[in-house]
Amino acid sequence: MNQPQPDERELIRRAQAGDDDAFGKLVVSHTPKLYRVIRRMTSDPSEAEAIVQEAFLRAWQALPRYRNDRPFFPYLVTIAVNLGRDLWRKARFLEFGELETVAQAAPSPEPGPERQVEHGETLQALATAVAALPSAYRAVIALRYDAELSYEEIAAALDLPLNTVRTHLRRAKDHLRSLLEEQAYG
Amino acid sequence: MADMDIHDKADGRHPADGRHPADEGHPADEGHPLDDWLAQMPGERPPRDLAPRINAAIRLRRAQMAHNTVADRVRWTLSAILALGGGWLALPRLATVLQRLVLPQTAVPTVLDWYEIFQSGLTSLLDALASGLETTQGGLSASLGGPVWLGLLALGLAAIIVMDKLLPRKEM
Repeated sequence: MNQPQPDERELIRRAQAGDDDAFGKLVVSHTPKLYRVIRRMTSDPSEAEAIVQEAFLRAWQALPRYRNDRPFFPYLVTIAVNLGRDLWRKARFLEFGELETVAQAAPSPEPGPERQVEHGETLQALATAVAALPSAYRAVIALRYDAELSYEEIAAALDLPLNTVRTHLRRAKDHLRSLLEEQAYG
Repeated sequence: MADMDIHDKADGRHPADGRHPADEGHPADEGHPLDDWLAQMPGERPPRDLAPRINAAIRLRRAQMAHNTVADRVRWTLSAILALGGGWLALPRLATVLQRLVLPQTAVPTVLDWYEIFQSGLTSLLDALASGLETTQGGLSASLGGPVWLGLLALGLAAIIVMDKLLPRKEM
């Protein structure tokens, strides 16, 4: 598990003492990454903004109970994911559906004349393919690669068994890999 | 294996090549830079004003909380004053009044009375209720003085103020 940086720990300590500017610095430093993670999970930018804002508000309200020896970002992500889970309950956010149908749903990038896709295009195609995954797979991808959480932290954030997280991440990656290979060579 | 520096973390969670221990040794990963690509995948930047908006919302929430704290203190103080004043006015007199309060025998029907009332039908039941309440009210009014009623009113208000704070409110 990663530890909070000394500067961050000091900011949290000051925020716990009632220093709004210290918490403001935490907001500024974590907003881009948290937004990126949540945005990967939802197609609605305003929904992502609302979740990020509410996550920070709840973290701020829970500051007196926050243990400062824990990493702050995974804590924030967990709050945000729980908010999203409540919001997307009707959409069955954490149901890992079949991936076979996704290949058809994912839009293909335009291959070049030599079917050699540039690196940037590959990344863009990958992002598009991830966006077409069912929400539960998008969530594990976002938490692993955008939030850079460990498997244990992902399991805690999604309230899933560790092996389930491993399995679904593996499945999502296998699917993405075959999709990319199909697009590159097929 | 592709270069995985992008995943290398200062916190030591990931090995030097950037791979999570759980990812190691999977045959599908051999020769495929997917982890690297996923880590470099373009993501959307937040609107520029999002962080300032969040900070403004937090300042607003703090102001609301400070206002609520003051309002709570006023509420508890008012409630305590009403409860003490009401108790001082009503309780001593009420205790003695209740000791010598004699209600007419017809005021509160007994179980047997109720049985007879039910036997004789709904109209009799309503009549019995109305007359019983009227007799009880008459007995209480005759026994209690004005200050006691005032004290009871103050106690009731104190209870309402406290209940208003303690009972959960449905958010709209």
